[in-house]
Amino acid sequence: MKKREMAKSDKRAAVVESHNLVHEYSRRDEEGNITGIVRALDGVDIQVKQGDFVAVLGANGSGKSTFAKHLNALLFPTEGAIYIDGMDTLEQENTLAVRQTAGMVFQNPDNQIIANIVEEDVGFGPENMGVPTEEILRRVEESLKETGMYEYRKHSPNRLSGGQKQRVAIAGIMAMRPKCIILDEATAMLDPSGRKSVLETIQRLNQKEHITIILITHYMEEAAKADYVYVMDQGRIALSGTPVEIFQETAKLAECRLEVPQVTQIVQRLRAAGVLVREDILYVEELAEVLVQMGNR
Amino acid sequence: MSIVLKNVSYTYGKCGSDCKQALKGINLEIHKGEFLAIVGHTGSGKSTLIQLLNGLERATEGEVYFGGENINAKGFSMKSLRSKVGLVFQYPEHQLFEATVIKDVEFGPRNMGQEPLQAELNSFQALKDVGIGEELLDVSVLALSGGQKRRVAIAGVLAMQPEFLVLDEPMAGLDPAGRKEIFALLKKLHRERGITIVFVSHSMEDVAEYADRVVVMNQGQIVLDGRPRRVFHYEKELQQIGLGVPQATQLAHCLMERGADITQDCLTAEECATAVLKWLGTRQ
Repeated sequence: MKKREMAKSDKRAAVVESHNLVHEYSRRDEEGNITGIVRALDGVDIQVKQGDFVAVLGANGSGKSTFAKHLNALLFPTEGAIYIDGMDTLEQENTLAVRQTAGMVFQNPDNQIIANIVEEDVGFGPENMGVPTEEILRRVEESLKETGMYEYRKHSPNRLSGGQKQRVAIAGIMAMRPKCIILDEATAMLDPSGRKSVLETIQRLNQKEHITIILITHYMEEAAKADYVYVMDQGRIALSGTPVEIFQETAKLAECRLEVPQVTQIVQRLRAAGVLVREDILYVEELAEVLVQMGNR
Repeated sequence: MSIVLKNVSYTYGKCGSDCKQALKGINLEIHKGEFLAIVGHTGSGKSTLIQLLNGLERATEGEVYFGGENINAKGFSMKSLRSKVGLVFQYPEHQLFEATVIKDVEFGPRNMGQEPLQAELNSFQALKDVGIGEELLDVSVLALSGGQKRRVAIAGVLAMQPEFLVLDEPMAGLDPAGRKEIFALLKKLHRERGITIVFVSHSMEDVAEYADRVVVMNQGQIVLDGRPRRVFHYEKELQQIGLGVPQATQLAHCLMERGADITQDCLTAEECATAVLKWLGTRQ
């Protein structure tokens, strides 16, 4: 008994911990008979500590969105287990607490806004949780300020851009005070400036509020901002490491249907030609500085 | 055969109260055989512009000509225009609705009045062109992967045998390998079938690699129009309107600003690495 309790208190150090997580979908024909089984997740081990900014990279169909749904108890393990803040998602009485711990922002900005006015939308989550009115008002104001949407609080959400809608969705989750925010391809339908505004918002929440961020994406440029990256392929973790470590695995990433940013491609071409610039450069300005120094030597 | 927009403006809503001018004084000629990219910030008018190309929206002012004929003149056949200028919307796979792949693709050409046998033949060919194998013809569209669905949706437009294929962000939501597959398909259609390609994109890297002409829009107007290499020369101007240039171009510009003797505007990682190596070689 004591041992089990110790193991449990260990798990509390991690906000997300999955052990050999397996998820199988069954394919059915028109009569509902099972015609085949698809293994969308095939033994995933991931650990995310409180306050981390983790990216899960993967091509279409790699299993990353299936994984995201396990983080929020929208799907449950076929085999293995996943613990959110120490809570086993398979235990039904944990479901509500899991969803309050790990808030999810989905891909399509138009599918997750329900109210007619921005501040009402942000207040919906805490109201549903039974938070007292005074406290709701305070949280709504705070969340909207943090996502930079405070000046739009009286606006109708349908007049906002995609990036602004996603920031309202993030504010709505913030108002529920989660430990962890999961963004399931939340930038995929946005234009570059919308993507940038969402990314800056979550980086700020991570750094200032120490909220754990799990960013599910296939954009390498976004993963570059994370502390740690997991790359998924065919339901497994194909690679994991810091962004710099991951970006050097060009061949392996190509096998996973991914591609490194142009800056990394240039660094690799220069190194192949004998110009030994550092491998860990991720940004244009940084590479330009290094090259100018080399040229002036 | 070309599409010409002459002094075209487009206003949403009734003016005076709640109207928005989406396009202002657009002059544009799209020539047969071009591979043209349209870029611009959200709300710059790109999507409105492409809906004018096949008469889906009607210009509030100015004229649109197809093959020299005014498309809003009496007696002009909109139906034939729409089969000659095929429009693929954003996330076209959301519009698949038939029970099987082949039925979905056939819907367009049949609707355009093609004989059933002809529609079927054209649909077979279109599916072959987009790389959907025969084994998938009678499969439910719901059983396909995201990338396959998108290719089926493109086939549905191709089966109408358009001369111009206009696509609104055909790569949105696809992973890097999926994007490459779609572009390989567009290049093949361009080269082998002589179809003119017009695509809207947010990825400057894709524009640099594939387009031979790029039109830049801002606040309903065309602000730059030319070969990607010339257009991406104006990095500062593009930044001011919320757009960027490929990282390779940016790096070359960054080095030039710091006094490096690089004169070329680079478009790809390969070009940029070559230019940098050449410059470093002269320094040693």
